[in-house]
Amino acid sequence: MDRVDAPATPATERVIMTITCVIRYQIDPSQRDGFKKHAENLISVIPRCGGHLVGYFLPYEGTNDVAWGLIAFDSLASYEAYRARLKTDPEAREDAAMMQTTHMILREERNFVEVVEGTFNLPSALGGKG
Amino acid sequence: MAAEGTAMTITCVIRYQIDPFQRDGFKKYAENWGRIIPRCGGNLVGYFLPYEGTNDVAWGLIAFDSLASYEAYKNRLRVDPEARENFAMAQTKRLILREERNFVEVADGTFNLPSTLAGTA
Repeated sequence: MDRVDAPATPATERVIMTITCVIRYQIDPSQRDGFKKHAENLISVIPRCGGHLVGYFLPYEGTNDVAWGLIAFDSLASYEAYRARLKTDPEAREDAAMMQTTHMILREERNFVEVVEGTFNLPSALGGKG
Repeated sequence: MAAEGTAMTITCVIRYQIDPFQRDGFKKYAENWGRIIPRCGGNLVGYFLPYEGTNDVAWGLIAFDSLASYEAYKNRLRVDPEARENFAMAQTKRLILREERNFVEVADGTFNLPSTLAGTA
C-alpha cells in the first residue's frame, strides 16, 4: 500500500514471480505487536535482499496465533541467494537476533508454491466494495 | 494494484489440502476463481499451487474491506452460476480434501513490494 512505484499493470506483468514461499507462523498470541514490528522490519530487508514481498498478514478474527508471510522469487536459486544475502545483511541479522531473544515465533512452516496464472492481484470489480 | 484502489483491511487466507493426483484439476478450479472472485466483490491476492516440497497443500488469498463485505461476497457466490458450477466440479471430483480459513490483516507497508535488487525477483 505504501508502494512507491505503483504500476498501472499488475506485478505479474513486470516481475517474473514463478515461485512463492508461503510461510505459516505460529506466534505467541501475547506478542502480536512484537510480530508486527518484525513484519515492519522486513519491509526494507526483503526487497533489498532480492525477494518480492507479497505481504505479511497478522491475526485479525478467529484464530489468534497464526500469521503469514508470502515472498516470491523467480527460481529456487534466487531463493537460495536471497537466504545467503539475509545472513550478511546487518538489519536482517539484528531482526533474527530479536526473534531468538523474544521467542515470539513458536513454529514456522514453509511451502513452495507457484501462482496460478491469471489469479494474481486482481482487484474487486464491484465499485468501492471489497 | 488492488491495494491502492480498494481498502483491503482483511485477508481471508485459505489453506487447501488437495488430492495430489488432481493438481491439474485444482489448477482449473483456481483459474475459474480468477474470473469469478473479482466480479463477486473479492480482491484476489492470488491462488498458489504446490511447486517444491509438500505436494498436497495449495493456497488462496482473498482480501475484503470488512467481514461484512466477506459475508456479502459469500452470498453473491451462492447465486453466481459459474461459482456454483465451480463448487460442484470440486465436490464431484473431490479435488479438495480439507480447507482451513484464517482471517488476517495485512501488516502496513508490507503489501506487494517488488525486489529492488537489479535483475532478480
